[in-house]
Amino acid sequence: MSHSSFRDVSVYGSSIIPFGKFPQLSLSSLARPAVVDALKDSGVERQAIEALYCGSAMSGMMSGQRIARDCGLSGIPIVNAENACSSSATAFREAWIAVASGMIDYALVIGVEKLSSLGGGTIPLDKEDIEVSNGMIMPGLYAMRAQRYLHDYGHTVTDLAKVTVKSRNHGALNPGAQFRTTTTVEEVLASRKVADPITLLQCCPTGDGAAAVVIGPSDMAKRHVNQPVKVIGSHLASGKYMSGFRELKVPEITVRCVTELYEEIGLGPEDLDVLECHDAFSIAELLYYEALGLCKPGEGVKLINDGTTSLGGKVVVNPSGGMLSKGHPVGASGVAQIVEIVQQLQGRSGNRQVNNAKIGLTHVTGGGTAGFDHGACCIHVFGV
Amino acid sequence: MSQIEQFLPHEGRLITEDEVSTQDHDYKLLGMHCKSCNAKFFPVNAMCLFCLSESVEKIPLSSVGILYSYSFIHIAPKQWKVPYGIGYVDLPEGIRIFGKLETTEPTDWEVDQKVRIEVKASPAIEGQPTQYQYFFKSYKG
Repeated sequence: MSHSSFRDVSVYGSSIIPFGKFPQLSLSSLARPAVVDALKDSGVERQAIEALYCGSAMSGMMSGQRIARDCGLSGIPIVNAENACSSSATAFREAWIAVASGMIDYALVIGVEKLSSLGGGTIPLDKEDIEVSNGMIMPGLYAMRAQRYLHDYGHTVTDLAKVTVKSRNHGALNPGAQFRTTTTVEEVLASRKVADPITLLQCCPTGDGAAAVVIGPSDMAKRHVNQPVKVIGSHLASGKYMSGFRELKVPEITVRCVTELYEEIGLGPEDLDVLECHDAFSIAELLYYEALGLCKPGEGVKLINDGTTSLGGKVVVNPSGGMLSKGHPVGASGVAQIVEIVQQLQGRSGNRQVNNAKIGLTHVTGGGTAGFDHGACCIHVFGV
Repeated sequence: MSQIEQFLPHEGRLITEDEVSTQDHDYKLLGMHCKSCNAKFFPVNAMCLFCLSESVEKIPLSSVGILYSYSFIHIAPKQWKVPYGIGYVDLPEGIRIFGKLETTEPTDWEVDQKVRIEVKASPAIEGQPTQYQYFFKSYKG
């Protein structure tokens, strides 16, 4: 795909609400503080926003309109995006295309989800799916990946548990994380069984959340803000159907998406200072280290053990605590990750600040559908 | 009695007569073969999912395959009785099939072992065609 006619786009403002369970709040009440704050942060007048892109997976119809109504933004074009866990990253990408193409100048992007209204447990999947109708659930899919990963590389459940320990260490430094206390390998392994070898503390929690960003052309950014963050690249991939023997240790859709993106922007994994990846389960973080090119296949465990991806390490992964600790309100996660990376690059991340972070990446993927690795994957790279 | 015998129709995907080979009372799952591009896939479909050709034929699938990976599920949506086992089985036809395991006994199962696909007829409901379910049986012999 050629982007030669595109202009540069920057994130002007960003905001996120603390994630948690807020059954008493409506969807728009969840989103409004993030929207108001992101607008304030962007220096862009509410009236100047030309379009709204809202990503949500399970909020029903017109989530963007419901929020716009309560934020003084009704009447402008609104696009509601559903792409499972990649919903709001997809919304961000659509906004980026609209601004980059010159069609509009300023856009607001929202990621929002209220999982507490679903009553907890595993997220509901498409009942017509031939695997789901035979008992497939998301933790089960990742558990089978883990089972094969441990079998083929000789790693242990302790290695899996260390991912959660690292995640909680980061989450403990994030006032907006759903889980803010540290844990131990023993605690992780002793927690309730979900899908062997995955235990409860190796799963992202059910929760609610919202995040918002305002984007606009890079060449107009300094009129509004001191520290715009440039969108270096954006890529979206969808699952490729296959009926044969898929290698479960290699998340094909992520590999394809990031390879194409690295090629487009002329950067590689060695250029990244910080990233937020789709750590919905402990095993996921290891698989995505490898898929994103941070290490060779089978060596993800090493990066956890030697601290490479922990705060203070060479390439910090999920400084926010990631989905495991910050939380994973499905459709909200894409923009939530973008807020974290943008603020890291601006040096605004407090106790969990990654030193001298210049280039960051966000990665979401998901959608359990038979015949695919995943249904969707959306990756962005940002820089200052 | 294995736990599968207790399955109620809503506890697993019911498949129809069109998707099962019942020749010689040896029930086998049916897959598809595309005569145009030679692809093989599961489940039954009226056209090839790879090249859209309608020149497709049903083929009975092998009953024995290799367990690629598996898990025991302890927390699941209400419709399921936990714990239950799930797995992916690779067939000689080059097709991978997802299904439930017969037991949740850890010693019954290991990665790369042989499994049999057992197809059974669901309890008959009067006036309705027979329906089938399948599950994986440990086959170490």
